[in-house]
Amino acid sequence: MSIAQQTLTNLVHYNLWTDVTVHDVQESAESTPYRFALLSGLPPSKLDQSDKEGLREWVIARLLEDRHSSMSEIEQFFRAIESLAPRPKRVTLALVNDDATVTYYFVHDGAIKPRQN
Amino acid sequence: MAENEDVVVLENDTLAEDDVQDWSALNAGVLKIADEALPKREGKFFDQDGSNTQMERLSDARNQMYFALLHIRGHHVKLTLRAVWCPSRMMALVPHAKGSFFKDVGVAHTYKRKKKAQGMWLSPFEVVYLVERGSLVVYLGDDSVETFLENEDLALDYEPLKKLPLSHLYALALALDLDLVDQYETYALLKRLGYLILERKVEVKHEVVPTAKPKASLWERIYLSLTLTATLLFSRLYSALYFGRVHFFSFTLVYQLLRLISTYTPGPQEMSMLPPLDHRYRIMFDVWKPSPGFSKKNPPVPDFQVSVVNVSRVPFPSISVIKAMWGQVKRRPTNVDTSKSSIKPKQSSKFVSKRDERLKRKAERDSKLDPAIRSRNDYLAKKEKLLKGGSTGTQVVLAAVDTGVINFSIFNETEFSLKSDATIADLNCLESRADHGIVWNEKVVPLNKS
Amino acid sequence: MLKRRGKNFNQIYRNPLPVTLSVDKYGQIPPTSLANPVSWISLACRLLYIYSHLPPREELTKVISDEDGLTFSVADDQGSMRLWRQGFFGKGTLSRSEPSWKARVEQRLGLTNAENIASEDVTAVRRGERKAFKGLRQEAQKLEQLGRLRVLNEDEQARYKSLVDQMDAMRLGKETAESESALKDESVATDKGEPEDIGRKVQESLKISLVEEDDNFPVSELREEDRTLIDPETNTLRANLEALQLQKTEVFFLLFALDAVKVFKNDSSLLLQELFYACLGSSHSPDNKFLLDYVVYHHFRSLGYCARSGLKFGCDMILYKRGPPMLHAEYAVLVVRDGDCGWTDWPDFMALARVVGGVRKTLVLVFVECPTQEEFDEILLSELDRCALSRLFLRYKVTEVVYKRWSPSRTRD
Repeated sequence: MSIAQQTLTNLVHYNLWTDVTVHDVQESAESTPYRFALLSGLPPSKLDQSDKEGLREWVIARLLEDRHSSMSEIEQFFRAIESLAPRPKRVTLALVNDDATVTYYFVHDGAIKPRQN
Repeated sequence: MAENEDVVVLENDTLAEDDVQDWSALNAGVLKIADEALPKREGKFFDQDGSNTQMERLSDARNQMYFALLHIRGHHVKLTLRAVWCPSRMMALVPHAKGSFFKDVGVAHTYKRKKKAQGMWLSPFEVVYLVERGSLVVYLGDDSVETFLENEDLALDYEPLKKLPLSHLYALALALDLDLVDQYETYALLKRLGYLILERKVEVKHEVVPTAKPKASLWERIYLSLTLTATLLFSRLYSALYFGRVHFFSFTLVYQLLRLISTYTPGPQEMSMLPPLDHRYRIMFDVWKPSPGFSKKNPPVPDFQVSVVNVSRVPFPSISVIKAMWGQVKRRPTNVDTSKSSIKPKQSSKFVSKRDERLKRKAERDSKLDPAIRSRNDYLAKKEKLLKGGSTGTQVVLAAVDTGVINFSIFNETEFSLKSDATIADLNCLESRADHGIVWNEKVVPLNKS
Repeated sequence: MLKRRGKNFNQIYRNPLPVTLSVDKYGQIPPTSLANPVSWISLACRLLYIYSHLPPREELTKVISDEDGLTFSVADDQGSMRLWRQGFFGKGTLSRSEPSWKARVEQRLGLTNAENIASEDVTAVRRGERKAFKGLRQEAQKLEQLGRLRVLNEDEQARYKSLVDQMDAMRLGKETAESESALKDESVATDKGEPEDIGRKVQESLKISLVEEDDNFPVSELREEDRTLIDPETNTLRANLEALQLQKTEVFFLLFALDAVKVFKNDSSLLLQELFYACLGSSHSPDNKFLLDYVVYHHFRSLGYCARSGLKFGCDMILYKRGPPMLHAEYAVLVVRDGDCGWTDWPDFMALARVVGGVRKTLVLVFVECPTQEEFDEILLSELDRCALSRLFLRYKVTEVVYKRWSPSRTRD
């Protein structure tokens, strides 16, 4: 199963998101060493208290074993979305592990105030 | 319960010790000012709100710190301790040692010609520590000190000597080697916390004597040799070939059959193969919890044995380094149950701690249990202790220093197979088993039912 | 396949490995005593009876290897259940550990009347409570901030007080629940189930959602995604989207050590040797990561521990006594090749130690001593049957080190 498909299944049937779509990622000139997939969808409830209701979330899916990442790769995430929609304040990074676990992390476009635990 | 895997313990976190310094404690009783107005210590503000209340609390806290630092630091003339730093010896002499500091500090000097006086040589760490805490005044020694050591004069004339400020002492005592500062900071931290500390001067050499096996009864010996033969047989005719072809009567047997990987078994054989220890990881300090009967001349086996490394210069230890450190550890004689002897008689007091209460309740509950279950519980608890805290009791502490921040790690020697002679003897006292390492739980059979 | 409490545990999970004991199939050995010769006879009869039969052998569970040969999964429910219940192998692809997706979905969509609690539901309740607490705290903090700027009016003060009381009550409830479960932990021999309290809460929350489904959760409000799952004629799920996925170490253990599975790739079954090379990948050296992991996995499995992936704690594996439904994992294991200098650095290691300490597990470093490349190559040249592989693994040796952080301010007295 592709990482896009795995993440889609996980979002829809494990985390109960709706209207999840896989988007085509445009090959850019400065390609990243690792492939990532771009998805978007609606979570069952907002992911952060300060979010607007009904916000469409952008998800970047990537294999955990492709360890290294860089600032320029993160910039690629946002560029890929910008070609489809206005640049979001953050994306959700989905790391897919070989035991079918998908772990999710926020990646913000710049520094933000830390959340109180 | 897999779902609890992501519970992170925040309360009672070990980070709590890194809490904000409360200077007001130092000022209590000395300062009348703002005593009542001082806010109770509470959680830190998550966010700055620009209100006066926040600003006031901040400046209150600062003022407390300034006041605390303003206190006059000094000691009573009669209690004054004086020492002379001898650059040639890299040590300081306290010509007349008195007071309570010397329980774990200094090496006694007996003067040849003055019987009544008692001198004490202090190491660089010891002298800096005592000066830092304001308990000792140090002078820079000259030839007169060497003369004083030999002559009959009872008092040393400090008048011509130069009094050393702390900064000068640091330079004299700790500047010779980069590692000295790290070692001193470790020493001082533990000392301030109340531990008793001695510097390790010589390497430990363990004589490797094969321990005599405890004599087993005839039946035990027959049983043991039988199981040994069986295990050998099994390990030769390995395993899965037999699943579905051999009758199994218990899972313990299945697990014994699966045993394939060799393991480190603590004992004389491993001890004899220890690599030499990389000098950077040598054990620097022997550390004891405070105890009234401590004698530095004849100290017991240390509670902690500490090595000090700087994280920017020394890598995280490899297994051969860890093993070599274990080789340098002073050990208690084997087969002595220390857990019982270390329990101190409780002082009679009306105060009962939660822990005591819990222990008492547990004892009550235990007394109602079936004896078979109780002895099984004792056995399992002992095993738990061996597995979680290291099965041999040999451990070494590594103080990792990063520009003044110290993190202590403990490396415990252990074996999950629990098959070293000492461990087997230990566990067989509670419950005799062919293989203690296998944790598959057999059912408990209550005695009164059979 | 869901969590059941109490005595059922011992029945459902009675086999710690997918191996059937002869005594379970042909009858237990009768109690014997030296003084009673009749008991010897019945013992002899029983043994005779057992040995007159072939040893019990269960049907091999079918494991399917992916095209790329990297993922292994069990698709049939019976096989998944066997491997999960007998030794806790694998992970449900749509669950946290035990494959419970089907049961969860049936519960959520009201397709069943059974009242089951999945571990995922327990977590949901706990997270809900935490969220409610944070809501209260946010409101209280706003009032506190306001109180620093001006005097609060009566309503505000009353509201603040009630918020503080509610938060205290929540904290207190948590503490009592914790101390109760701590008490349970003390008696080692008793099975530890979910604390009563959380079980009840989950039951309640599930009941509420069931009621909602019956009364005002019409089919039209189902997610489009859910509607496609249901067969409208039978009102049941069309398919189980979930499979049990096994890690390489697990598949290899099940085939090599227990002979409990058959591995298929493109409809043809893999020989042990083929599976070995598939797991090994391209690096044929004695310190191959799979080999190091397998050596440690086999070692702990042979001591009766249940070893599972340590991904969530940044380590190689975690060890359970018995298994996830009964007890927390107690150990976090880091696999290190013996002799490696600079195998970690200080910040990485301290971060790991902190994470593991924070979840109250004991960190165990396992150093693996490997055979030389020559010894390794020599064995690989021969036919790689079970015997040859056993000879290979006999050359490995492990040393365990228990790591603890020391806070001197806490151990002085």
